[in-house]
Amino acid sequence: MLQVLTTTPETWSTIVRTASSIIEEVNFEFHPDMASMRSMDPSHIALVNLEWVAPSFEKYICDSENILSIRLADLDKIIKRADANDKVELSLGEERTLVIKLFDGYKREFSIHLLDSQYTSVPLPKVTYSAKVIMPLKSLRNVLDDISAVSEQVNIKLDKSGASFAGSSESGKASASIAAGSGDIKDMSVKDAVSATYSVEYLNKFLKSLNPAKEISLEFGNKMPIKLEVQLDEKGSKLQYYLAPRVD
Amino acid sequence: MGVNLSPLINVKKKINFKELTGKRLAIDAYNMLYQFITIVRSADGTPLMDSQGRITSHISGIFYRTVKMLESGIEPLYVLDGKPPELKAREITDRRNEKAKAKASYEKAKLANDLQNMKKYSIQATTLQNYMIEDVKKLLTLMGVPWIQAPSEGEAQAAQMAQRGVCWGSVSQDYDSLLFGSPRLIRNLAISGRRKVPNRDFYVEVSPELIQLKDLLEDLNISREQLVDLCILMGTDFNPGIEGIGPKRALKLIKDNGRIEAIKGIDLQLVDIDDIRSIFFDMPTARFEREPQLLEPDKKGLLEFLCYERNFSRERIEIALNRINNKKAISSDSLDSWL
Repeated sequence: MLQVLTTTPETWSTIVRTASSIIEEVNFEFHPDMASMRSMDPSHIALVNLEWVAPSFEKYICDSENILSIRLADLDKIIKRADANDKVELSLGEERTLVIKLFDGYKREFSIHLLDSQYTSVPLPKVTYSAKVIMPLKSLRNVLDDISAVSEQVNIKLDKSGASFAGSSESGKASASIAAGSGDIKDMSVKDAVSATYSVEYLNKFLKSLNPAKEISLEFGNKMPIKLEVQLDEKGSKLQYYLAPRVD
Repeated sequence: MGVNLSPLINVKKKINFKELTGKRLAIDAYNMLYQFITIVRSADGTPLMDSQGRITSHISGIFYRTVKMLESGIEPLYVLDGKPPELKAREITDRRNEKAKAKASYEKAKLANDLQNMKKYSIQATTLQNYMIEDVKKLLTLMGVPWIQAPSEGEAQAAQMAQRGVCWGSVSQDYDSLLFGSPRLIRNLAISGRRKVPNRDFYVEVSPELIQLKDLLEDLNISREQLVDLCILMGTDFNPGIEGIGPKRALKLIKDNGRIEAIKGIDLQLVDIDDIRSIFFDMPTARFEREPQLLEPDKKGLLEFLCYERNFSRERIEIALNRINNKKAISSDSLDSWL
């Protein structure tokens, strides 16, 4: 038995958009206490990790493990049909289908075919982070837009005084800095000063799908993958994004 | 051969090897093999051979091109064809007859000592032999490069893997990959560089190009189902098409009528349209038991196979082998080192 209900389509829409920016098919796992999803892009540059706990749902009934293999484009089309205030209910239908009901406005019911599950568990990167900063998402996006005016990659440095961002290309250079204690940094902890470079395009793949009013945490180490994390609500559900560093 | 969509394609973009760095590409192995056995030849059309007279053009082509990909950080994943669909029988017979004709013309040119025609017809008469496929499997395995045997058409397999995100796109010269639903088709990957124009004495610079299915469908303003219908009208490897209908007219007919069944006065001559559609939409494909990955090449095994058995120059093979480092190709810019 699987029946899960959310009061709005927002979280579904965030998850589907984020994951579909790097991959076309995913496995959603429904456990008795939470839903999860972990996927890497084909080149293993980025990984999306979802932990969506049962209390975040309006209703969450799942009495056994269910792994649903879904083509994101199929789900996206249906979630897009939902109005902002629609309730969204998912359940299993006959002949390996996923049934999606949208209601509160007029009632709608869709079903999509599940894929033959080819389940391979994706491990999380083993990284020890030595620095963390929490920023309003809007501020981070602004800074990345500054850097991407000249460069496809961004070097991020973090030390006790704040965060600095820089990029360069044949066409020129760009840099931006944010002082610790300013409104653009909500919180930070730095054991050692760190510096690493990432692809702006891949950072944006994640950031562009999120609600800009949210806060985002960045954790990384020297030449290490970066971990971006947003809280989906106050119940402990979160969405994480790991991105490999640029090595050149 | 595949369907010739090129007159309808306005959305191709040039792409260089560097932009493909870090990406896994599913390669239509038969298509690439065929290109190499036709291209890697001497002036009179004789292919490369070892001391026992066995053709080695395909080995040379696949080896050096794979080295180039690995060196650029591309992760090749070769897909081999399986059993062709029954509807392809007519196309296969046609091709066989053409080969036989070319072979006869070649013998004639040879008697006349006509070098240019000898080359032309020997290329046309070329067929893929089973031993060549076996050579390539052995070569790839020794190089640590993954390959998969498709149950049927390799392009369908490649397209499906690209759809599922196992790889980034399909590499083939044939546009059929798009009909099979590959989100990205990369052409000219095997033949990029300076190329002689066939039967002419000049060279052109050929560079890889990328065609995204989404862009193509948006540009033509049709669905993938309609793209397939359009190609059925023109003729595919699985049906002869309708006399006098080319790409432009087919596009108009499909746009005006929606689908083949709605077009008046069209006679597809006993062809079951749904059978052909199902080739492009429901072709059986295989799955990897575990994630395919690059392994360290077996350098000793490669030297033995290429140099000792097939008479490649040891010096040149060693230089090429030193250029590849699969570990490096895997870890640069990817999360793999931390997993």
